[in-house]
Order: sequence, then structure tokens, then C-alpha cells
Amino acid sequence: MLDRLARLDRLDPRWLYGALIGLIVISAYARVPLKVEPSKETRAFYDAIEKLDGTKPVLVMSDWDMGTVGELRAQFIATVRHLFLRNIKFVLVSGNVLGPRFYLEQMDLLSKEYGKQYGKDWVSFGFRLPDPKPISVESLARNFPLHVKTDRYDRPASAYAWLKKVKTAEDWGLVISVVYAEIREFLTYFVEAGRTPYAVGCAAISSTFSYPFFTAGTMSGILIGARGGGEYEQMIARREGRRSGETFGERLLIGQTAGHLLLIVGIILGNVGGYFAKRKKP
Amino acid sequence: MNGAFFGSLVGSLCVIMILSLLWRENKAYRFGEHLLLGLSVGYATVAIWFEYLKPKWLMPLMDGIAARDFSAIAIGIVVFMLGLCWYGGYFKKTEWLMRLVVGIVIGAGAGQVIRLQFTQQMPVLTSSFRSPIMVQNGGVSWWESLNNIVFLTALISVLFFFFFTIDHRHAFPRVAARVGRFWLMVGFGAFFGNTLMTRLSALIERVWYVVDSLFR
Repeated sequence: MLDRLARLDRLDPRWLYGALIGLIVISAYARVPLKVEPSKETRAFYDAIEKLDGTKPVLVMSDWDMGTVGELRAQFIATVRHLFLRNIKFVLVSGNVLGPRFYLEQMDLLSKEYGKQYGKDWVSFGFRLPDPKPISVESLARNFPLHVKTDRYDRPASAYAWLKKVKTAEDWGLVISVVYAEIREFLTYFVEAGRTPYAVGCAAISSTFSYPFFTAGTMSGILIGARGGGEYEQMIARREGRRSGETFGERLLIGQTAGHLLLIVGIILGNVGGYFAKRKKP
Repeated sequence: MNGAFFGSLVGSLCVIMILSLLWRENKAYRFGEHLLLGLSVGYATVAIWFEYLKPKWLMPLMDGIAARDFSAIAIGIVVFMLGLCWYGGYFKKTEWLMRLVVGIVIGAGAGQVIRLQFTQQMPVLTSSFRSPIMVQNGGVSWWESLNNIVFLTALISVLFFFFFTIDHRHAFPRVAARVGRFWLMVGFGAFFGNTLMTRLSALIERVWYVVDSLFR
């Protein structure tokens, strides 16, 4: 018995990888009613959109691509659903060359679902925030039409009536970034200079750095990784009167929970193995 | 076999090739890695040209030439020349050209950072000045007070941990620094937990993609 327990210390990690992938596959089919209470950060993000009166458009920066689709797609979809539900017009820009390729695919699907039109309800200007970000964001905040030039159909911002009055940071109702890590330049050029609120959707790995800004009140809300996306999708589902647990973000929470449980079991077994391996040594 | 299914099949095979590294280093993984790098660089090059360089630099320059607007032409040429300076670093004789643009970038970057730090960090700094006794609706809010006490303890003790000019052999700074180290560990633990969540999300999404493409 002692030998068997001590052997856990030298367990081939491939068993763990196999078990983790197996659990993830099962979670793809499992329908576990996982009701999650939205966190304070997610509720604040939701409220930031709820507070909008619709007189000013919203600027949404979307950077997610194949590397961050797991965490950020659900956040992006829920954000767009919320904006569509509230009939708030918005502009999409990206700081990632691959960004528009990913978000436009979702936008076409969501526009059809909600009966919204390009140009009337939303516009995409594509990859307009390259590095260095401080210069790009400052330029965007100072003169939006000059910075973005033309949209995906080569039309200038002035071609859309609801964008004619938008020029500087103050002319936006809210700035949202669904990016791997928050874009702090928005705090300087939009929150501090333009008094425009800023809400963030980011990967969990980067959220640790965003918390001080949220507690300080300069960030209006944060969606933290897959958890934030799942919670937000549940809030939107409840608002729409849909059955929750069907969307990608919500299902991802089941996979996450299963994965975390396996890791906790792995940590316990590894420590038990380590303890008995040490005891065995003379 | 329709196009969408073929696309998902290729995508799934690529995912399996990359994940095969978990088993051991192999040629399929190497092939997948090179394929990914090649595709990403190729896509990024084309996208940067069509999404940024063409509309932001070439078109204004061409419009300037067509309208005989000399300021637009001058800006286009100067920007192009400065951009070319980056390639000076590849030759010994022209290395100074790169230093010229590096100097501009560092100078502008430093100026930006100072301004950004001030506007971003000042609200965070002022929000950390919290009272250990919170009064709400005419009475003491014990929960908020406890929150603030924990926050202030963590803040002050972590600051003590980084005071290297104070002799840590004395009891107070030593204990304070130890408490600070504890809070730092809590912070690193939270950071690691979040890292794990990000990696797991990426894995779940990819595994589901393969399952959806092949078995549904």
C-alpha cells in the first residue's frame, strides 16, 4: 500500500493529460445545470451598459483570435447581445490584424439573429489600433474620423449619420475592450481626458493587473476570462427569458469546473505520493 | 465532402498535431508548428499592408500627389524614409540610421509613459487611502471596516517588504516584512490560478472544436 502511494509521486504526467482531455470531452456532452451567481465585476460591466441612454455610440475594441477564443468569444458575444438588446449603436475596431476576421464572423450571425443592420446599428473599421498602442489610442481619442479613415466597405465615418458628431473621446457613451489584457491607454485618453467610462473584458491571466483600476473606479467593470463570459451570458439569457446553460460560455464553465476538480485531485494525490515517498527513504 | 467540413477536418488535424507534443516530441508536431508560424506571418504581412499601410500611408501619399498637396507628399516621404532607417541596423556603416529612429521612439515612448503612469496610477494611489473605520448610514459598517483593515495591513506590510534601507533585524520591520511576504504569496497564488484558468479555457475550446468537427 505504502509503495503504491509512493508511486503517485512518480506518476507519468501523460496520465494526467489523458484524464484532463477525457474529462473535457465528457463535458462537451454533459448537460449539468450549473447556476453561477454573477460576480461583482461582471455585474458592474452589465450595469455600465445598462446606464447608457443611447444618445452616444459605444466604441468596442475586439482583439480576440484563435489563441484567446476560449475566453474572449463568450465575452464578445454577450457584449454585442446586450448592446443589440438595448438598441445602442456601436463601432468596432481592433488592435490585432486577425481580430476583424474573427469578430465579423460572429457579427454576421448575431446581426441576423437580432435583425440588426450594418451601418444602421453597427460599423466595423477593422484593424485601426496597431502598436505602439499609446499613440494609436491617443490619435483615436483626438480625432476619430481622421484616425480610422474608412470602414470595411471603404466608407468614411461621416457616411453614417449617427457617427457625424463623433470626433473626440467625449463623444462616446462607453468604451469597451475585449482584449487579452486591458488597454490602459483608454484610462488616460478616454476616462481621464474625456470622462468616458471604460469597461474591460480580458483573459483571466491578465485580470490580476486590472483589479486595482476596478477598485479605484477608473474601470467601470471587468469580465474575467471564461468565468466572466459565462456569467455575463447567463445574465443576458435571463434578461431575454432564454433557458440558461446552452451557450458556449456557460458550457465552458462546466469544462472549467471539471478541469479544476481534476487538478485539485492531482495536487492532493501528488502531495500524498510525495509524503509517502519521503517516508520510504531511509 | 463540403468546404466547411473539409476546413474543420484540416483544423482538427492541426490541433491534434500540436497537442501530440503532450505525448512526446515528434515530426507531426514540428510540421504543425512550422505550418502555424508560416501561416501567421503570411496572414499578418498581408493584413498589415491592406488594413494599415495602404490606407494610412500609401493612399494619402497618392492622393497628395494627385492633388499636388506638397505637405501630404512631404509627410509621406519623410515617414517612408524614417521607416527605412530601421533596416540600417543590418549593416555596420548604416547602423547610425537605426539609432536615429530608436532615439525618436525611446524619447516619445518615455514622454508617453510618464504621462500615462501619472493619469493611470494616481487614482489607484488615492483610492488606497482608506479609513479603517467605515461609517455608513450613521453607524459603523463592520464588514467594510474589516475589509479596509485587511487591505491596509496588506498594503503597509508589502511596502515594508520592499524597504531594503530599513534594517530587518529589528522586530517590527522583520515581522511586517514577513506578513508582507505572506500577502505577496497570496497575490502570486491568485495570479497562478488565473493563469491556469486561461490555459484551461484555451485547451477546452480546442478539444471541443476537434470533438465537434469529427464526431458531431
